[in-house]
Amino acid sequence: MITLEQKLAMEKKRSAILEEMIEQKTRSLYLANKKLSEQVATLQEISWTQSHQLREPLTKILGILNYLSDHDKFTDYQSMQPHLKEAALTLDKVIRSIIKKAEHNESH
Amino acid sequence: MNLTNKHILIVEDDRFMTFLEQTILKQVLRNVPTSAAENGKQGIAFITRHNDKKNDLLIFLDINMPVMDGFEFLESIDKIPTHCNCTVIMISSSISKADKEKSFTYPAVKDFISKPLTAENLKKALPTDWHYLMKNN
Repeated sequence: MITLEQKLAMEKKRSAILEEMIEQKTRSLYLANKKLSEQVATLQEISWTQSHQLREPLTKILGILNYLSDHDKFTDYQSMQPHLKEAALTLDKVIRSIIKKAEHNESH
Repeated sequence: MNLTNKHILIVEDDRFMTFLEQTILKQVLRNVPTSAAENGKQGIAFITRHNDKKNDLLIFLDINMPVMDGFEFLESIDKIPTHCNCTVIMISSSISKADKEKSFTYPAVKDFISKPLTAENLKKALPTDWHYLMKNN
């Protein structure tokens, strides 16, 4: 026959196990939430980068092409060429930095 | 320099983009005096210097700029008692819905153009009281 003390000890053990389970669940939820927040922040950063930094040199290239289609192509190309090159190089730099960041995130 | 009625201010940190935008403005509009500021702070200084009720100022505003960005500029013009009629057209490389929605929360903002500025999107964005200045109008 189980004594009252034994029953109490079993009850205490059960509640300790339950507490441990809740604590583990809380910890894993906290970590999942933290990871999700970090992913949301990364997505927001990528969105900002693409919208501003990536489109900026692209819009410059488009602007130059529009300009050249409205002006004397042969004489104006000479003056536009350095700006075109600068914009293309900036575009390449931004794309490379996005890929680098994405690869860095994948490895973590 | 004294402003006489209608005047355009381009607030853009990239001088070459300012040049391209000025070219489009000249293509579309007849003889409108145009000034340029390289950031929001310079833009505010310009408005403060020409803050007169007889002035009608059309501002082409970039968002991403050093020193003072486009949104900080809009916050600042909300705080200064402006007497001139300031209309803002956002002109940004951004295609983000959030940037567009945020821009329209400022009363001075009348339109949002995603770069590059073209004669077509400029004509669409021009306020009606500027239409008589359009070439071939």
